[in-house]
This record gives sequence, C-alpha cells and structure tokens, in this order.
Amino acid sequence: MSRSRLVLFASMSVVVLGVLAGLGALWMDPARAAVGPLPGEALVLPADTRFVMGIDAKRVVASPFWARYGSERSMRPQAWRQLEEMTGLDPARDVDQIVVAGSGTATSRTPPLVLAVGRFDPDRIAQTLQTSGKATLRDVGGVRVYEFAGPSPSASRTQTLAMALLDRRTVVLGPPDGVEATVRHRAAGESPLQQNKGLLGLVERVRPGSSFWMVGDQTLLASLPNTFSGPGTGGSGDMGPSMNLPTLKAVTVTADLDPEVSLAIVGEAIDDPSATKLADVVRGFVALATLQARQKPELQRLGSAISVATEANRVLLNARLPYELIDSLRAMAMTSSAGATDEGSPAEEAAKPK
Amino acid sequence: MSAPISFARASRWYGPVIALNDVTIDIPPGVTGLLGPNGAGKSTFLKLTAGQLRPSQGEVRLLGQPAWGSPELFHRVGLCPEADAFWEQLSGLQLLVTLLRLTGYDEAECRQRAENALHQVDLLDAKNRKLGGYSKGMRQRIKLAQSIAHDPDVLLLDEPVSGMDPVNRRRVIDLVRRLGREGKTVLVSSHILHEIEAMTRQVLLIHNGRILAEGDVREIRDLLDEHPHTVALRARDPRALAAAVVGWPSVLSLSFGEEGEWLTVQTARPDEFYGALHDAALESGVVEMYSPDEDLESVFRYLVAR
Amino acid sequence: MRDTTQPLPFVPATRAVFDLSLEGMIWSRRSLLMGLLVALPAVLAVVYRVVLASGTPARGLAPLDLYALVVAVFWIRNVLPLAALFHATSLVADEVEGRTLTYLLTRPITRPAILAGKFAAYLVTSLAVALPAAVLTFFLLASARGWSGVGAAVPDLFRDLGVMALSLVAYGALFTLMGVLLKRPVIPGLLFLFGWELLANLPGYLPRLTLTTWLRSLIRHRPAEEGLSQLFAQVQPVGWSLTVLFVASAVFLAAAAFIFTQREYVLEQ
Repeated sequence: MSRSRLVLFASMSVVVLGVLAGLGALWMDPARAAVGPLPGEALVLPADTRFVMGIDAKRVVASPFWARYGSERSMRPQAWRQLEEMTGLDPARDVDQIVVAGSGTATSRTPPLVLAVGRFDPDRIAQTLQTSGKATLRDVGGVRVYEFAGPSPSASRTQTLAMALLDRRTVVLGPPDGVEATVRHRAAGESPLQQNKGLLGLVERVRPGSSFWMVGDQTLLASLPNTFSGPGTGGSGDMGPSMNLPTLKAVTVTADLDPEVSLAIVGEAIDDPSATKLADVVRGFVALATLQARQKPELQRLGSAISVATEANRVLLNARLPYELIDSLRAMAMTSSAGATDEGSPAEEAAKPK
Repeated sequence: MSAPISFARASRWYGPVIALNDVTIDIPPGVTGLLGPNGAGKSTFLKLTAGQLRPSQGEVRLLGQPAWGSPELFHRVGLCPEADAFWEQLSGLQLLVTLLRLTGYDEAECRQRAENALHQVDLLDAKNRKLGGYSKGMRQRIKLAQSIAHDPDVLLLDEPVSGMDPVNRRRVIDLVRRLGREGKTVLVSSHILHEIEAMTRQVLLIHNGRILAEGDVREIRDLLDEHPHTVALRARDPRALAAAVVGWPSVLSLSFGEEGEWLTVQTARPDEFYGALHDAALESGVVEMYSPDEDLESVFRYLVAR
Repeated sequence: MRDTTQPLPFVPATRAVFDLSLEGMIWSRRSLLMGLLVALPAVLAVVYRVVLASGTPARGLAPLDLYALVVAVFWIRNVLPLAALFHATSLVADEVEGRTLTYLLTRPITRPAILAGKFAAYLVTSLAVALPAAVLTFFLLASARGWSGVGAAVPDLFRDLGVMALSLVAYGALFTLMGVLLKRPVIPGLLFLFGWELLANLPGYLPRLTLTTWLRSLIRHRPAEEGLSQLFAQVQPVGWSLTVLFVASAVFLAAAAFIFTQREYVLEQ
C-alpha cells in the first residue's frame, strides 16, 4: 500500500470508528431517548399529555448550579422534592432522569405524573414507606401501588398521591388514577404516548444534552391568556396599556446549567408576521424593563443577557445568566422582600395613622 | 490513403505575431526531421501536430482526424516534449505505468510495456529510483521511454537527444532509425543539423513560420562544408581525450576551457569526426557534448543569401 | 482489448488521474498547512479537556456549544472554504506550472476526465483531514462532562459530517471553475469568501445568492455568538438547500470542464 493510501486508510478508520462509537453511544446512553431526549420508559405516559418536562438529574448534579444551590431545598424542582419526601430516594444519587407529564391546563389542580428513571431498591422503598405509616398499599396487576397524602400546590390543602415501582429502573408518582393507568399500560406492553404525534414531534426538536427541557402543545397554549398588561410608565399600580399576544402553536424550552445558566425558548407562531410581532413585543418588554431598572444594575445586566430572534414563524429567545448575576439577583430579591416585610403592605401603610 | 500528418494551409498566430504561416505539407511514414533555428516555428508546428494548439486558420490532421480535440488519437501517437518536467515523487517505472494506465492498459500489461520501454532506453536498472534523482541524460531518456511505451504509430520528438552523452545519443539515434524502418511515422524536431542527419535524410527546413525547404539533408549539408564546426566536449579526462583526437585528419584545432573540464574542437569534416569519436569518448569518459554553432543560422544565412 | 477509436471511458480515465494526483496532493505543503488549520479545533479540544481535568473552573461556552461554534463558524464558514480555495483553484494551475500538463493532454483521455480525477483527489484529500478532525473534536468536547447525553448529540455529529463534506464539494466546484477561468484566482476567491458571502447576513433575497446561506440552513446548531448575522439570518428548507447545493456544484463543475476543454494550456507552460 502506498503512503498516501495508508494515510487515507488511517483517516477513514478514525471516521468509521467515530461513527461506530457514536452509534454505540446512541444505543447505550442511559439518557438515550425513544424520542429526542425522552427516555423509552416514558412512553407509557398517557396519550392525552399536553406538556412534558424533562430533567437530566445527572447533568444537574454535576453542574455549578448544584454546587452552589444544591443544599437549598427551595432551589430544587418540585418534582425532585416530591421524590425525596415521598420515597426517601436521593435523586442526586439514584435518579438519571425525571419526566413530568401533565394533561391539565396551567390552572388545573390535577397534579402531573412524575416518572423517574434510575436505580431503585424496591425493598428499601417499601420499608421506608411502610415505616412512615403514611402509605397504604394495594396491588394492581402484580405491581405494588402505594397511596399517601402528599403536598399540593396550595399549602393549605393536601391531596392523595400514589407511587408505583414499574421495575428496578422506573418509578412513577402522581394522582392515583394516573399511576394506576400507567401501571396497566406497562403491564399490557402498551406505549400510549406514542399516539400523541404532535407532542412527540415537539420533543424531537429539543436540543440534545440539555439539563432541563419542556414542550407544550397547541391545546395547552390555547388555554393560556394571550392578553397581558405591559409595564407602566408611572409608579406601582399603573399597569399601562394591555397588549394582545399572537397565538402560539407550540413552545419548547431548554436550559443548561454549565458553565452558566442558559435558557432557550422557541415559540412557534401561526405565521411569520405573528412571530415578528411576538418578537417585537418581547424585545420591547425587555427593553422597557431594562430602562425602568436604571437604578438596579443587576436588572440591566439581566436585560442585556436576553436576546430575541426570529426564524420564519419561530421566535427564539436566548438568555445567558452567569451565576454571579443570579447571586446578585437573589440578593436583590431578598433585600426587597426584607424591606417589604419591614415596611408592610401598601394597604397596611395606607391604614397607618399619619 | 492520406499521409499520417497533414497540414492544409495551416496558420497559427499569437496576437500580432505569426508563428506559422500558411503551411501545406504532407509528412509520410518514416523519419522526418524538422529543422530550424530557435524561434523558427518548430515548436508551434510540433504542437499543432500534437493537438496541443488549435490552428488559427486551415487544418491540421493526424492519422486522418483533426489533431485538435481528438484525444483518442493518443492511443496511436506518442509525444516526447522538450520541457524537462515530471512528477518528481514518482520513480521511472511508476511514471511509465501511470501513463500507460492513462492509455488504457491493464496492470499487468502496463508493467510489461513499461519495463520494455525502460530497457530500450537503458534505464531498467534505475527503474525504481525517484525521477528527482535522475541525471539530465536519464531524464531525457525517460521522456523518450514514455513516448514509445504504448508502441504508437506516430512519434513526435522535440529535441530528443538534447543534453545526452554520446553513447546514449547514439542509442537514441539507432532507436529512431529502427522505428522508421518499422514503418512508424517519426517527426523529430531539432536545431542541430548533425543530429537530424544521423537519423534521417528527409528534412523540413522551417524559418520564420514558413517551410523554407524540404528534401534530402545531404543537399543542405553540403552547403556547410565550407565552414569549420565547433564541437565542445566535457570529459572526465579531457587531456587524454585531446591526446586521442589531436592526430585525426578531421581535427583543425583544439583548446581547453577555463575550468579544464571542457575540450573544444574545430573540425571541417564533422561526419568523420563524430564517426571516430565513439571509442575515444568511451575511454576518456565524455559525459556531455554540444556544438555551439552547429545550428542552422549559418545555413539559413546561406539560403537567404543564395 | 482496447478500443483505440475512442478515448478511454470516463470512469477508468478519472480513476487513473485520481490515483496520479492523490499522491502529490496528500503530501504537498499546501495540504499539510491546511491540514494543521483544519485540525486545530481538535488540538484545542484536547487543551480544553486538560484544563478541565486540572480542576480549573470553565468559563464561557458549554462544551457542546463550543463544538457548535467550531462547526458553524470555524469550519463551515471559514476554514473549509479556504481549504477549497487554495486547493481547487490550483488543480490545473499546478500541472501548468509544473509543466506536466502535457503528459495528461497527450493521453487518450478526455479533458473532463482529467478535471474530474483531479477534483476527486482534492475532495478525498480534504475529507481525509476534515472528517477525522470533526469526529475527534466532537468526542473530546461532548464527553467533557461525562458520557451522559453524548448519544443524544450523535445525530448532530452525523449531520455535521455531511454538511462539511457538502461544503467542500460546493466551494471546491466553484473554485475549480475560478481556477480554470482566471489566471490569478486566489484574490477573487478571497473577495468572494469574505465579501460576497457576507450577503448571507442581509435581509431579503440576496442571501440566496450565497453558498453560506444554504449550508448554514443544513446545520442544526445555531450558535448564539453569530453576532450581527443573527439579526437577519435566514434558514432555508433542508430539501431546497440540498437541491441548490448539488445543482450549483454540478453547474460549476460542468462549466469548468467546458472551459478546460476549450483552452490551450500549453501556451502557459
């Protein structure tokens, strides 16, 4: 073989090996998705799901976000806290991915289903739940389903939640009928979520390797308000003129936490002019808010960290927030809330005798 | 049957300069010498024949087809160009095999033909050496080898023995004569009368883009007999060479070059001198030979004056 | 048995010219220099990994975002077109300067076959450098923070390899045409790359007259640091982009072959 042929052979070998390694990684990746970033296990979720949210627990734990705020419970997602509280699991250690699927509207009280993929010890979980005395056990098609009272979005109420271990890698948590339906689908070998082509089409567009992602379809977005009041030019209480937002067909949100918090929101409008209008509204909102935050450099930096662009009928919003900025914003928020607590509400202030 | 090479009122100009002017000639099979001083139009004539240039006017036909735009002709035509240029990273054998592949032979036949051609030009021993390491004479021979490797019917040779030592010059001349006897059509371009004379008697004289004369070279050669020829020889032992030739009747005078490597000989009978030179050249190691005034300027001055 | 009444068939002739040209092209100084430039991101990726391994906190872009920037801005927008410029404009010029074109023109092969063989040699040489660099850079960066998620990013790698190859084809075809058309094609080529191609960043129909627009539309990652170009960057449908690029390449190469067939190169030797 001549020297040049040898070089070609070596070069193509690298490419072929890379392609094979890539295919292998695609096949073996624990975060391998049946559809985009969605794990195959999540296809047992209901077909009427209207939004899906995913958290790559491994990436979150490995990120600077976790290093800075991991010890603060308030900074963890609610689904994360539910898993910890209800099951005694340590998501940071035991969980690879968390998928949250909801079929209600934004104002619905029906809690979403939470599906966690990782490594679970059924006996230890059962012991934890039984020792707590708060869970009741029933059998659904040979699968143990635990029911207990869990926290609800409204702090004054509790709601009944259920949890089932589908196998040593998959736990599902949520409203009892939702969990039971999931268990039955799993036992029957069904994948109802695959029927929801629209939603899965949105999931496929999610940027691979994101720490967090969320997609919502038209049915969800249609129920969101599309009129909002802009920031006023006067003091507080002046809400300014209201604006009608163009209707969105779909929204995709992705976020990364390393080396800074980066957020990308893609909204698909019904046509190009609607997208342009929406982008202009968002840009204007950001610009106005930045102007109004003249006295607060953190908010000005926040405004500069956001960029808005359009691609045909899609609006792209990108934000990059260094952790130093997030710390400043949190400090500012805490200072503001501490000041508000000291001063009382405006109504209380007005009621005080002068 | 038409002549293998045929020019019909062919002209070629480059802007205002006319390189070849209204030439009509048929070149038959056998060896034909194309003689002319530098700038006479020999290169243009040869390149028109080889289809590398398009005639500005008229027609040039090779084996019955237009020379320009007929690549299939090169199955049967070989060209030995004047330029000393190769793909230096190749060896002699690789060059020939590559060019034979471009002529359509399979791998086995390429190799066989390549080695046969190398044998004919006495380069078989150096076949695996890179062309960059070849001497000037070897490079000239490999150029010739690539032109004959595919056994063409028509051979176009541009200064084929330029820079060769006497031994290899003789070898090439013998090869050309043999090809002519075999019925090939060989057109040899040179500005050195003696080289052409050794290969053939049929010559075309070209000057200022026109065919000045065609016919037997003897008639042209006789015109030069009145003038002594200068022959410069570079040898391993020039003094031994001088001692060998000084007594020859054909030698008029001798002188040594400044560096001592060169011996310059004046002769009134160059045929006789060259014929006797072979053995002396071998013994004293002649490596290069040229005749600084054996071009045709003087011939053409004669022709014009007459 | 050879048919001596016809030139050699196109494919064997092209293959023979390709074999001849490849040897010289792979080991040329031009190829070695371009190879170093193309492979630079792989070297930087190694440095990135070393820095990470040393525990230094990484600032700036996430690894996959860095990879996206390398693909979209460094390779597809800049380095690969430059490699195409310096290689493809000299496919014939090198033979003319080296005075070896005569040997090719006096073989029973058509001139389009000569050009095709040399173009194929350029393409293979360039791909032999670019594709391994992309593969190495991808795996070095994508696995910088563990192998989780690498699999999900692999389809982007495959897509990028395809677009890089297409970039070399399209720009190579255009610069081959410039190489046979112009005596000194490098300066006009540079003006094209860093002048005309900037039209891709303007609104309206003008971007469709650039190759960058169609190539950019094929890659999935849209790096945030595109700056001013982000304002008006147009994304064309994938089907249209592929069609335009292939048709443009074919037209450029056909035009180059036609011009090469008509010209008398021997004058320049």
